[in-house]
Amino acid sequence: MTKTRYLLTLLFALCALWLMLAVVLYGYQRSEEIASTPCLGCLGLNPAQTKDFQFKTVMNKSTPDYITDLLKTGVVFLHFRIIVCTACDEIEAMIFNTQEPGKDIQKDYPDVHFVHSNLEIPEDLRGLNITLSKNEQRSLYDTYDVGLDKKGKSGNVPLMVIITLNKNDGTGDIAPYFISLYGSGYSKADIESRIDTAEVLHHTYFERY
Amino acid sequence: MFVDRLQAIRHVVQIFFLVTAIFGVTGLVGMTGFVYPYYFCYSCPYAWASCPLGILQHAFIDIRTLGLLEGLRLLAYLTGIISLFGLAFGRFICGWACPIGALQDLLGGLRMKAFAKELPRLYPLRFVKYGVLLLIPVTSYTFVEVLYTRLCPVGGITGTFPTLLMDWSGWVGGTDFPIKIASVAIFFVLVLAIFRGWCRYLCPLGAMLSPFNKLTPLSIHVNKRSCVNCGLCSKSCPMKIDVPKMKRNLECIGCGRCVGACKNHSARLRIFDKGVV
Repeated sequence: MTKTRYLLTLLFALCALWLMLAVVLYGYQRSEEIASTPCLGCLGLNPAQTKDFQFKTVMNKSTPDYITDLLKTGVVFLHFRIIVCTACDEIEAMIFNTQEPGKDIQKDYPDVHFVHSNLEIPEDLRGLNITLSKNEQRSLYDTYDVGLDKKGKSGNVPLMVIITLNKNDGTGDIAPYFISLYGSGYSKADIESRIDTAEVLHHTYFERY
Repeated sequence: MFVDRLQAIRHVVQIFFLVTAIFGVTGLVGMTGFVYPYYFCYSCPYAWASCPLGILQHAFIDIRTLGLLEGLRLLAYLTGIISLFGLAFGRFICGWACPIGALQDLLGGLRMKAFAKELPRLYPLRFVKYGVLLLIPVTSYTFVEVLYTRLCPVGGITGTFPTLLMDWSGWVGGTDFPIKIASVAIFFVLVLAIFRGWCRYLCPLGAMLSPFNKLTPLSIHVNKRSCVNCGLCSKSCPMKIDVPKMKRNLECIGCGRCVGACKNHSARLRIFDKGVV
């Protein structure tokens, strides 16, 4: 009986320890995540960016000026799609929330610049007050690794690129930061991916402050 | 003799903790996931840990947006750290470690004479800080916004100004900048008017730590048998506590001024109910 009680106590202690460890590890990681993002709300300041402010994308290309300009006033959300693409429809439905009118994700994030690009319809670069030519859009596709084949069809759509500002780990300076979410994980049945996208956007948006 | 040196030791400890808070200046440590047990903004260019109130707000935003479990885990982490330090030191943290407390001690000598005496009608205002502490999670959850952070004067003092000093041209005032300046101005007026005015009336972290005064091994105790009720201890108390009557008072920050003021050593600093000073 004493032995059983001893074992039960030990088991309980181990469970409690495991639980505490999980909390501590998660809490530490989340706390680090929060603190590593510049808290512009704490400061009441915004980074002053110069015109020649540049940074490279994952394709080692310079970010276009108009993207940099948009970044000065908010998070930039680039959305690449083509016309016939079921996954693109899924993602676009999430962004515009066509299934639940009035719950448009763009309305939840008023400071985010949503930029949509559809190479097959060049003028469909919504979110920007500029119209890019087909070649200019093609260069945007190269810059963000949308991946064009020889026929000019995009291989990686839907692709979303979220560009925001973060604190550089090494120097602590404010630096651009971007996340690319490739389309491969987004199938019709993959509800989890939608949630991930919303979460990533949420963090990117709120942790700017 | 040791009693006379208590305040000097306390100030050395305060400087030590200020240096600790900005240890990131050495470049030996970057931002970590630790949480300061005292009030210091993680937006300070040399901070290496998080602000407990910032984490509190994020925990409630996480509950609303990421789910109950995620938010509660972060909240459990924060309460674990605060409980750990609170159980060990209670509000002695405010008196000995908090850089904002140290700043108020420094500004204490400059305070306006007109306000040097405690106004009795201000006494109930000390409950305001508990209200502020309660409002932080409510507003974070309701508005999914770090509203308190945007108003926080400590963010201005330890974050905004050092950031601007380090890189004046790298920043421009945001929409919250005037609010930040106003809150910092209010903070300075308050602490210049009333000694430790921020700790007494508004500090939510003080409110968070105060219940631990009942549990911590550290306390200030007055020996009723030798006390002559001269009132010198209460007069010297920056929190304006009636020291002879107090028993592990929630407001006591353990600064030990009463210990130094007591002529016949009735007020003593105790650890585990054993007098040490």
